[in-house]
Amino acid sequence: MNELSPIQNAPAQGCLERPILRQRGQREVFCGLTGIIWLHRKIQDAFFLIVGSRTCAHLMQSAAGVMIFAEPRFGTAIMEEKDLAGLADANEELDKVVARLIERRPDIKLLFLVGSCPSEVIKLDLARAAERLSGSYSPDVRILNYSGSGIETTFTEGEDACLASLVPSLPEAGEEAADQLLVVGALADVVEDQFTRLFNTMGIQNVSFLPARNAGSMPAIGPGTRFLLAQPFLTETSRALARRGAQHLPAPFPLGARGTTAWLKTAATSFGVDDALFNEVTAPAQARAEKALTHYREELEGKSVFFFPDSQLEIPLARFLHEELAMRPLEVGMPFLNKTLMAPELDALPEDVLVSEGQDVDKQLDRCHTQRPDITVCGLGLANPLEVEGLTTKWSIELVFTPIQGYEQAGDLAELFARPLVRRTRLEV
Amino acid sequence: MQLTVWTYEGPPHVGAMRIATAMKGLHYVLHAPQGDTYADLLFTMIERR
Repeated sequence: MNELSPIQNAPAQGCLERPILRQRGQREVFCGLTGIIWLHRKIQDAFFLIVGSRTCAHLMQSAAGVMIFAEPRFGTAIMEEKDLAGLADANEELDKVVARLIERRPDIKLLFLVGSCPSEVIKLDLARAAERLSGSYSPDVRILNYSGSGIETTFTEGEDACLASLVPSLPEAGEEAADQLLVVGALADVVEDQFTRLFNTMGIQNVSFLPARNAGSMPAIGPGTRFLLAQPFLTETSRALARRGAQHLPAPFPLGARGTTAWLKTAATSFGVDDALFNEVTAPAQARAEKALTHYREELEGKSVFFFPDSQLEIPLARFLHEELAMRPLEVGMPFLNKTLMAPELDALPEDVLVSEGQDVDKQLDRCHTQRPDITVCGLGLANPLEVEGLTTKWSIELVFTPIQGYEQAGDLAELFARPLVRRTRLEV
Repeated sequence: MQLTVWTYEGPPHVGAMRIATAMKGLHYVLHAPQGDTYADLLFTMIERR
């Protein structure tokens, strides 16, 4: 914003015209470390080593519900007072911890060093540490780093940071990149298999997923690779892929019957799939999804819904609830708004919905109290007090841990919203 | 620096938080980075009036 880079006056159009309420007050969200809870299950030979405090270790254990006998694929290098006070060389200490870990777990092929609030505060350079340790352990173990610190990231941004750190290390694809479709964002294996079958049947054979299920099968990419985002929170990963020459296919997200059709259709159009073939391939699954939704529409139609910011899934979910179940979104809050990625979804929201970015939790609670929505989607910490006040809540974290994408899961997704209403009527009987 | 893949002990501020949630007329203010707010997401029933 100086003479060399003046403020651009881009003409307002589409969703850009919608007023956005931006708030920068107290937030009630998890930090990005929590992404490890689903990522460590997804990449089966990876290990996530948090360089952090006892608090970080406790968060992960509590949030993941890890039993003490389990040997999870994540752990913590707990920084002690002498590390924090600079009395010990943190890099030497980290090298010792990594050596112990790799000796104990020879199955690890990919190790992520994950930064936390304390490692950020003492400015421990994990990028350099990862580079140094890679020198010692490659090619058996690849070592990458990213930050899951609550100072820099919120909840699902941890996955974004993790995937963005993977992108520079992905192999270079040759000519085969020209007909490659890459689906980006962690999905349940069963959902990936369903999408692969659909794409293959419509003639798109070269389909790969990021992250892959193990370190050795991460996809090669290159100029010409076209990618679809399966999750809406992958801003940095999209940029990293674009830097490798891959081309983003902007699409709505695959939630519900319509969302899934629009998402698949974007790829089909880009790959020149004939309309008749696309309809033939998708029609049976689409019909199953719509039938499953009909059942829940009776319960949910006309009900109002209020989203507190949490997972970044809020806008696509509100679009789904409004378009496919005839619910009434009142406020849709999200931690941050990427208008480019969200444009197709935002345009489908009704004009009178308040879209809010960031949080000032007390003010937002006041708005929620005034509007008294039929369902409030929020994090765990807000759900209990709101339930006590007579509001019906949905824990937003369930929407991240449950497979909700694709046709076959559309009914399950609707059921997640119907269940709390049914539970409340049962409790009142 | 110590490697842990699981831990018996929580940090002490969670213990203090558990005591605070069991008391009336008390407000517990935690001076901590954003990441530490997980504790009140998981361990408290925030009372707001």
